[in-house]
Amino acid sequence: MTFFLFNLLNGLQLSMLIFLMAIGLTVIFGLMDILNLAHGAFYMAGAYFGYVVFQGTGSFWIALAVAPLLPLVLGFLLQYFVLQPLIDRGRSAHLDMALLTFGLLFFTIGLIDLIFFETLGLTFMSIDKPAGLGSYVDIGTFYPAYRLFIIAVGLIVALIVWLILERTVVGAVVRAGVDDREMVRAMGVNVYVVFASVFALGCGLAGLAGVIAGAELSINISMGVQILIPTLVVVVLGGLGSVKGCFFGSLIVGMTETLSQAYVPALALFATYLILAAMLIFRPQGFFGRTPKSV
Amino acid sequence: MENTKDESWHPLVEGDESRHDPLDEVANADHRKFLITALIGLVVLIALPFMVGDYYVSLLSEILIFGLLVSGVNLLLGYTGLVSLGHASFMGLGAYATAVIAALLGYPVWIAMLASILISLLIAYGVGLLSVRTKGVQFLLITLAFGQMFHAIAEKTRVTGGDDGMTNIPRIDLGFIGLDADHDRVFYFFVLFCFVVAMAILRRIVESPFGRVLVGIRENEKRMLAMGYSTFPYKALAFGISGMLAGLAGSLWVQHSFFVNPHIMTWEMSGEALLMVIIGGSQSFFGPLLGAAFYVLAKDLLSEITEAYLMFFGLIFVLVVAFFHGGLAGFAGKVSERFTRGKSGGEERQ
Amino acid sequence: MNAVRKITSLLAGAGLLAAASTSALAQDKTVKVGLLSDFSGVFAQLAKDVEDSWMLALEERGGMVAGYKVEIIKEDSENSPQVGVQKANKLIKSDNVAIFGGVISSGVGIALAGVADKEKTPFVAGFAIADPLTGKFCSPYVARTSFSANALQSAAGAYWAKQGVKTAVFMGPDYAAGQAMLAGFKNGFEAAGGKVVLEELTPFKTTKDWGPSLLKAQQTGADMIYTFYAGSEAVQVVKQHAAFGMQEKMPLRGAMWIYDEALWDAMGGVQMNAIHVTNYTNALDTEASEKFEKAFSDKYGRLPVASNAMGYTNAVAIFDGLAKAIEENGGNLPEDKAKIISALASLKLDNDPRGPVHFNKDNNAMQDNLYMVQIVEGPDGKPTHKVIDTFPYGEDLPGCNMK
Repeated sequence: MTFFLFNLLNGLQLSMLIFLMAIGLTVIFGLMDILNLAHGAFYMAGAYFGYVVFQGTGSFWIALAVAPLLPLVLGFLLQYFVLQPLIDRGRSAHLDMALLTFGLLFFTIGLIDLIFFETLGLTFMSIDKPAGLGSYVDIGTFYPAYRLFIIAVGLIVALIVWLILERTVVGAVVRAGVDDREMVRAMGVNVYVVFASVFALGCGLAGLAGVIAGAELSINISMGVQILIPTLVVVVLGGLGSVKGCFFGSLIVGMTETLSQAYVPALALFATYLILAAMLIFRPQGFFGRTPKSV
Repeated sequence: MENTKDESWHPLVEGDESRHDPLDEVANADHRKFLITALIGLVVLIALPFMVGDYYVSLLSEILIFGLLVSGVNLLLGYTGLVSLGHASFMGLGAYATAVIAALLGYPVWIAMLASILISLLIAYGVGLLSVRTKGVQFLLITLAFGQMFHAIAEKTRVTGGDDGMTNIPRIDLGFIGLDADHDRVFYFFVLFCFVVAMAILRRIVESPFGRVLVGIRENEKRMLAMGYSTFPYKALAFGISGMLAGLAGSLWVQHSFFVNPHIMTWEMSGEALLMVIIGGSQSFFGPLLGAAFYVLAKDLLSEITEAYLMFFGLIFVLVVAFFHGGLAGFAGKVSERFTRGKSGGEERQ
Repeated sequence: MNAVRKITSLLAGAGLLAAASTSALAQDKTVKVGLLSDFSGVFAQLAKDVEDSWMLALEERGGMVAGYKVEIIKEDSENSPQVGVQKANKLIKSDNVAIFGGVISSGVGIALAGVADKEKTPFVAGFAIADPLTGKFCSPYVARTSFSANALQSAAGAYWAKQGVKTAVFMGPDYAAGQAMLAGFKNGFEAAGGKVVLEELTPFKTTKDWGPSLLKAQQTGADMIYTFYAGSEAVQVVKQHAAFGMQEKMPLRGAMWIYDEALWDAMGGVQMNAIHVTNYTNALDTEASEKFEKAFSDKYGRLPVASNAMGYTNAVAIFDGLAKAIEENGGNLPEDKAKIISALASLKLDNDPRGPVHFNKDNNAMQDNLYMVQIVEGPDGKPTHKVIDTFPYGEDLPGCNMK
């Protein structure tokens, strides 16, 4: 019984890490129709910059606060100065942007490899957990305190994002934008700044996930590609652009990966993809999504 | 299939001009242009291996093999507008089928090749039936999901060596014409033969009414539906054919490298195939081959300089998607346009 | 590419070309050696370690073997068998190397064994510890200077059972190397009276969380976890094992990969006091080991690690094997390149930093002893190795039928 409960905690922990990634991706997709495959690159940017800040200051908390700013700024610049102008020049958002950001992911991996490995000779890096979170707590069995911290961060971010989207003017604009972009433009809102800001926030959250993962997992060259796929699955499961869907989608993916590993290891490699394929065949709009408005 | 519908989907027909003459003329000019390009290309491909060293002959084989894979990917991307992120798995299927049938079961390689082609066609058609109801990003993700499942099966299968894969896979026996395919030049010409046959068939397909429907689907699927086409079986069959080309590429690939393991079917590999198509030019018949050539040669060159060559490919890819939509082929087309302007009546597409 | 070679290749194809260029090489007395290793990908650090030792060994020989000047041609196999095969073909057909070596990855190694056998060009694996490389895939053109998974892990398994460990959980990645390590450990451990109570194989390269596996291991109440992970997976397993508070109750042990020195920084201290088996450590105080340690740290300003030692054996075997083959052939490179491998395999490397090394009939390296080491705090406050025991080496698995 406790074995099951602790597995649920593990599943929740993984779900929250994936949620931090997926929330940005899904809102960006819902609002701008951009499937940002470079989201994994922003996750990496957060982790690697987090490592640099941590090495400079010796503090996990400073790294956690500062490192997400790099992907945040880069995200804003990318959307405002590169992606949006291209869309305006007639590049169809959907596939061209997916392909372009896919190239960007390859580029980032190569660039990080060049800087950190070929130039600095660093292969495996990690950020030390802060005192207090580095140890374990005794709740029936020893359980890592840091995992409880990840769960807490995930829940808090989910709550904040939900409050912003549901309770603020900015949120109203964004929600309206997801439903009907033309209407927002007609309202006289500078929709480009809104777009770029939302894009930046999504990238910032991916960077935050990167710093957090950098302390629990390790920082390496394939981390961005590894996290990208479960994140995409979440976005599909939840429905494009749905915050609630994203939250429950994350739970499904995190729990599936954890529980299959604990109880049916033979299926662990397949489980997530089976769910993804079945979902796309039978309910391509996701659990909470509307039918996609463009093709 | 009624012909009138097909003609109206010819990419060069814009208005309602008199129906027969101009169209035929343009189509013939197009065809002439294609034949000339193909002929020049073939002469180059036959002559090249005699002008370079052994290592470059094996690179040439590689280019043609990837050329088959990416021409398959392009049948979906360029002609039907569907972006697949799972085609490496069909290459892997063809590769494993050949390896298992020839190396494990001991059948002659030509039987293994035919079986590989058939198996990859059938499985790709099956996956196509399940996938092509979706489009755009959802299609990209569902092909990714299927690709990852095939990859997982390859990782898990013990008889094929799991992650280690299989080695010592034989090449085709050309003893009946007195040649030994273990020599790289001989094998290159065998690959070239397969390539030319496959490309000729592919050309027939895209020029047929079936191909016109595919282009119609890419341009405006709703209109095709409104015209009474059920687009679904067309797309599924296109998926099957493109998977078959990938399977043939895989079957040649194991013979080329004497080796196969699951790395050949990762989604990164599918992504690299997309890179080749886009860089080469998805809107033209030979564009993907140019992309494969560029990719293989540039990788060979760049990897001498830096291990982080992915950075350059990523950058080139971004630039092509953003600014040079026609890719290398589009660029070459524009250059040749300069010389032949006014004669042929304009560029192929776009 | 000169005209003569062009015509030769046109008329006669690969076979004659290789022969012609070998005799051409003999006149200007240069021998080309390929260093083909996984310089990018997860094994990048190990490949660099091997390269450093190659350069040291070459320098010690003044860049010459038996009157030939050695020219090293470096290629990156990218931890991909496909790329490895392509680069090996380049080395053989375009550069005309006499021999090539270095490779880390078992997958690449097995693929290259096939190429070497087919192209009749010697290949000497630097790491590539999969049993079949010198078993099922053995060849008169293939040798290995590291060891086989079974030889190391069965010895380690037997050691722990004799120390009184009764039950163990095995954890490792679910792919060929992980399975081979498990089989090797189980062979030795269970033959000596131990019992593997849980075989926990996790999806290779896609596992993000070891929590479920660690919880399962806890449930068994076994005496220890024996594990094979490398690189970033190793970092994650060691950190998470500590975070679950299992270090006291169920220690995490393994071979050198799980506690590799290159990972210590990333592990952030939780590796302290861990015990693992290795075939070399710079804490050894034999004469040969001290000599290597001094030469290496004089050249590079740091202490050598196990992968440096493995690279050193690789280079020494290749250079001295070449020298022996040339001397036996009256001062010229032998036409039949299998003679290079047979000369190499007859070497007795008594001064290897790992301890005396020789080759068995399958051309695989065997060493006299293995070492159990603990990670402790050194005099400078930094972590270092302490040798806590020395024990006998294991056996290779059978399976080689050399033609």
